[in-house]
Amino acid sequence: MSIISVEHLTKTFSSYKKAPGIAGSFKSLFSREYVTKYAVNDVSFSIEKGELIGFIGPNGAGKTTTLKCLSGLIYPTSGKVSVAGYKPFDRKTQFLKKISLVMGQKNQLWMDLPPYESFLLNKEIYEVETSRFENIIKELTELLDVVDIMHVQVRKLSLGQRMKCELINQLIHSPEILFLDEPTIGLDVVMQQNLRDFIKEYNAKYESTILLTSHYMEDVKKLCKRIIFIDQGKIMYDGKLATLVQKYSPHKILTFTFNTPITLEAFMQFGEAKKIGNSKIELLVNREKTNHVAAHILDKFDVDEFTVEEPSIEDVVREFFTASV
Amino acid sequence: MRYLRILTLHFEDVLQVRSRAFVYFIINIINPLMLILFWQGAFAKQSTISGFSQTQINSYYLLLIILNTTLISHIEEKIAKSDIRSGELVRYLTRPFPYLLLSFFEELPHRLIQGLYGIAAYMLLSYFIAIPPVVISSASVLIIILAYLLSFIIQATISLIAFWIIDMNGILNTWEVVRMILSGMMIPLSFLPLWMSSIAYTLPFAYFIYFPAITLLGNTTSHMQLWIIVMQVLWIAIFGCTYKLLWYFGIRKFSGVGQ
Repeated sequence: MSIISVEHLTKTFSSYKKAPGIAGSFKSLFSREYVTKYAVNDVSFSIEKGELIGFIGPNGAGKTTTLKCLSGLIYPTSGKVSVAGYKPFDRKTQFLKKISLVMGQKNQLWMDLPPYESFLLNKEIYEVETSRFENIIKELTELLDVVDIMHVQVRKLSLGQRMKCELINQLIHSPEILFLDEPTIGLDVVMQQNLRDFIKEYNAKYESTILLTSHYMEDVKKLCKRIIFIDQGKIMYDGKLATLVQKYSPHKILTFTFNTPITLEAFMQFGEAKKIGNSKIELLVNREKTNHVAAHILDKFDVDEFTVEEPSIEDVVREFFTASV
Repeated sequence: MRYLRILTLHFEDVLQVRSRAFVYFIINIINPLMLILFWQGAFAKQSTISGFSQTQINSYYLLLIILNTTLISHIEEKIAKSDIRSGELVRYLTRPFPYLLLSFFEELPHRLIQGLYGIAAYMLLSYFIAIPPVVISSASVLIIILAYLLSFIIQATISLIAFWIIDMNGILNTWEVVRMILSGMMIPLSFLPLWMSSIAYTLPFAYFIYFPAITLLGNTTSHMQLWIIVMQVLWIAIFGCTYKLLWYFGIRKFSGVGQ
């Protein structure tokens, strides 16, 4: 039984097209031409309990709109949405107690008070028992390493600390389903990694279902086994990340550092080659031939170091969209 | 108890910015004081105007300092501009607590703190300006509580127009002027021409400033107080229903990023 089920979800927005210049402005006073834009167009998918899913796509693809429909923020134009057995837009109390939406660019914390006061407010709003609240706060503040800032004014906290507190604030009621919209946006690399570790741990420990949108491919790569690609309001791919990588990136990257200078020509036979400096080379080799090529080069050349890597997820996505167009 | 704890937490937030409440209070005190000075000139030639003596008019405007600061809700700025226009409403919609009630708890500490300033100013000024004592009774307390609820629900309802209108400034400014005139914030409504005061007594505005003020001045009979309470409840019900209707349709237009 899926915990989230979306069938033929469509959400349109209407906006008017203004002709350029002052004449266009005057014309718009009397007559306006409205256009309907499909933010989400006939989208269907389902998610099982405990899954951690990456919802990715370019800007304006419809990721956040879908998340808003799932969390009951906006009313779908058509289609069926069921989250934990509820219709999200009804915003029933029991439904809202099961979910949480963290938006990287919006926050619920009081800026002029320490984060703990905002936690207390959510404790009351979500009707969390005091002993349970204290346990959750203790656990989450330790896990996210923010114990020391619990009584510092939010305004004085760094962006990363604020985001961590925001996350705690949204987890006080132990939601079964967590919608994370760009949770790592604007954070430095270390803080991004900390948050990723936390999300992964939270998902594993509480078996919560997490739907994550992010511009950072590292988020998706590190956290999600399954991804949903969306572009121009339509789902372009829904499946395992590993399958996508294999399908749209039939190569692996072999990097060799040699003890002596080398020439590029000597490696052209193995695949697409790129020379880095005098003694280093990067080879794009067909997946099936990787072992053979590596063994051959190790045998024939004086190799100092050698690595095999998957291509970056950014390259896979780029390849995917190029192939789709 | 849960609601009290939520209210207390909002009090904490309001008290964090110490100067804010005082600055807003100063703005509210200037208008009634200027009007007292204005009416001093008018009373130089006659002892009563429309049944008000100079002492009563002084008392009326001094009471307005408390009533203006306590009973006039300013929730429209938050609802129309911040929440709907800028999309901050998303912060409330995913919480299992009614938006209107949470907004009420956000606004109430502001009004109570302003009211305390108003009472302090009233007591201070009453040393310098001769005024009769105010009449505190269970009816006047009930009228004041209902006056605030009415003011709050009216402002909240009007704010929901922001779901359909991009720029609410014009509407809110016009509304403010109408409210000032018809609520008795400028002059007591009995000073208006009969036809205009009749309209004012029918509309809701008089029930959150003028009638509470004359009740506190002791200018209402118990029969009239009952009438005021009935009208306040009626208007709260009308605006409560209108709010629900506008919310029902408006929230379906909300895009989650601002209108």
